[in-house]
Amino acid sequence: MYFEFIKNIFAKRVLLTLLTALTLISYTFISYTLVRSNLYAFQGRTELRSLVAKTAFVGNDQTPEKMTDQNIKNAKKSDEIARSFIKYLDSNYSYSMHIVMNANLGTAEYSIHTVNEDFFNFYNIKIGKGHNFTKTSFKNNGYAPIPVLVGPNLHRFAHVGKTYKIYNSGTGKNEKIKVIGILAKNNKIASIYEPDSYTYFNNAIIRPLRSSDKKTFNAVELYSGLQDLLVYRTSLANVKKIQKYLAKRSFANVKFYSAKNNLEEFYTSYTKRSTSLLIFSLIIFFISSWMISVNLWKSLEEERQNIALRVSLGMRPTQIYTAAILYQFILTIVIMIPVSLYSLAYSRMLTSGAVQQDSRLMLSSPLPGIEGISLLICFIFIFVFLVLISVILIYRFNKEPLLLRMSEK
Amino acid sequence: MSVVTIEKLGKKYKRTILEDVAFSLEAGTMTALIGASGEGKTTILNIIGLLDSDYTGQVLLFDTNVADLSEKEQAHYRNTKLGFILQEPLLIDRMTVRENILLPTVYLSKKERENVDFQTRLVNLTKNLGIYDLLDEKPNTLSGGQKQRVVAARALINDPELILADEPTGALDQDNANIILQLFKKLIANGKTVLTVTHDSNVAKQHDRILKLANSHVLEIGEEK
Ligand SMILES: Nc1ncnc2c1ncn2[C@@H]1O[C@H](COP(=O)(O)OP(=O)(O)OP(=O)(O)O)[C@@H](O)[C@H]1O
Ligand SMILES: [Mg+2]
Repeated sequence: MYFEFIKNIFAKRVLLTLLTALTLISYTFISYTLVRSNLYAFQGRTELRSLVAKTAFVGNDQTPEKMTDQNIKNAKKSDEIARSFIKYLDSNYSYSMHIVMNANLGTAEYSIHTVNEDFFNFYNIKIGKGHNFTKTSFKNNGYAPIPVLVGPNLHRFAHVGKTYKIYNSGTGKNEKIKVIGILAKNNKIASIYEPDSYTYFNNAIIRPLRSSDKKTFNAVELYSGLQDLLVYRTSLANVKKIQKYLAKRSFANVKFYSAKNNLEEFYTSYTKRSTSLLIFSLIIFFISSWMISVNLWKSLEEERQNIALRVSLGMRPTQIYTAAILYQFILTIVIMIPVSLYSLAYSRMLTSGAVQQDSRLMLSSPLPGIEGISLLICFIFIFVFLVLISVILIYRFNKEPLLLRMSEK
Repeated sequence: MSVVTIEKLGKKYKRTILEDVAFSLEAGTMTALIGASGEGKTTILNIIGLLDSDYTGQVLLFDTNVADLSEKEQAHYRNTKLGFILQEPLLIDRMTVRENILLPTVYLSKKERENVDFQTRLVNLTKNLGIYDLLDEKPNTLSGGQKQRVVAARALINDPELILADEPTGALDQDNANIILQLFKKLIANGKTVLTVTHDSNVAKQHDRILKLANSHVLEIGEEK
């Protein structure tokens, strides 16, 4: 009986109902983006707190392309610079270096992340199986297999204790690796420049930057490592020396920013962007709620006699509320479908990284927490709001008794 | 048993419509309610039909004060004990004749619905009223007289005790009017009760009693003189 009522009364104006649904669908995308981004930004801020606590400075590689190209061509000289630079860093600074190599982007099934020991002072990487690196992992000589942590999506490598051969485009060598741990699902680190965006480690191979690697360090690796190089427990004057060191040798132009200022800057501009999105979302929201109200009210008013008829035949006036709530529930579910599909696709893309992966694996990966929570918040918000509008309108509608105009005048 | 008992009924909009109205209807009788336009006849039917609770005085249906009934019980009364027939046949255009007639059964509880063979009842009713062949039609293809017979079938599908009819023959030709009146006579023969609002004195004369609403009061014709 509720469905009959919904079909013939609430949704009787098919075109307007569809139009309202479409506006609501666009609203779901905006509000979902807004909620998700805010949650991510909040999470990122929490995670990056240690950077601020350790007075970290973040490197931003602004080297002109020409300089980079020239240095990479002239490998003999620039590799030499890279090696002496790493020595210089080791003897003067505390730093966290993170070199990312996406070999053959698009076709590669994994990316190689080479990190030094201090990396783990800032990022909490969770292990699903096996164990994390130890101090000796970073001191290994060049001949033993390299201990690595592998992402949970890389089933080919998912055997703790086994050794494999992989090509590392950073070192330019085939390397023998030994899996010592499998990462937990959805390990991620927030970007220091945009704390609402993340790098996921599901398809990553994390490898230590060992003392022996430093001896064969090259320009390609350094260029990757300079971006987001974290130098900490130091002062701005001190990090400026690093900048000078690289500039003097015509190797790179790296600017360092205080993590604290950087984060503050980000959140100031983020709040601005977020606020304008919020205003935009509110406008769409008011348009859709206006459409819903008009549609609902017109339907009720036009059908007053038909509703009175149903009441005379045994329907309870309060059942109009139940029908409305049911209708809004169905409507909310329907309008949430596109954004849910989008979210699912988006989170798969995120968790799989930029690299390709088996579609079966994607299906088995659940929505990462924030994506799911964002959807839920949007659903609840829209549903509660629709119900509220309906209840107010029906209350107003029921105020005038549902009489039968038994004879037409 | 008294089906309807009204005592000291009063109703006001901007002006007083009903004042100190009292009458009762016995089971198995057919009563006509007459009166000039705008006197409040439809208002009385809405009150007895439990659609309007904004009045003073007392209304008893089947010896129960309706003010004591909950919203749910009132709905159940309308559903199972009352049947409405209006001058303009109000049907839902998007539904077939069959669905329209069965609409009141939708509001029954599952148990109540299973207790009665509504298909047989539907066939019997519609055959009696000559609309059996129209069951799968949409209302807008029907004539006024056919529509009114569909309304009558819908009013009777839950086998109500009391029929409230507002100008049921007002828009009908003589033949169709007779069909409705014959139906009412059959109903009271089976112990049902009918209250008909009418302007037509010929229709009124065919009832057991005639009540007249004038100057906010109801008088029995016959007592009037
Ligand atoms: N919702 C309302 N608000 C204000 N006044 C109303 C309302 N409904 C009815 N009335 C007034 O109450 C009076 C009685 O109306 P009602 O429809 O009961 O008359 P009636 O006797 O059935 O007339 P008719 O024979 O024309 O159908 C009328 O004067 C009408 O204008
Ligand atoms: Mg009337």
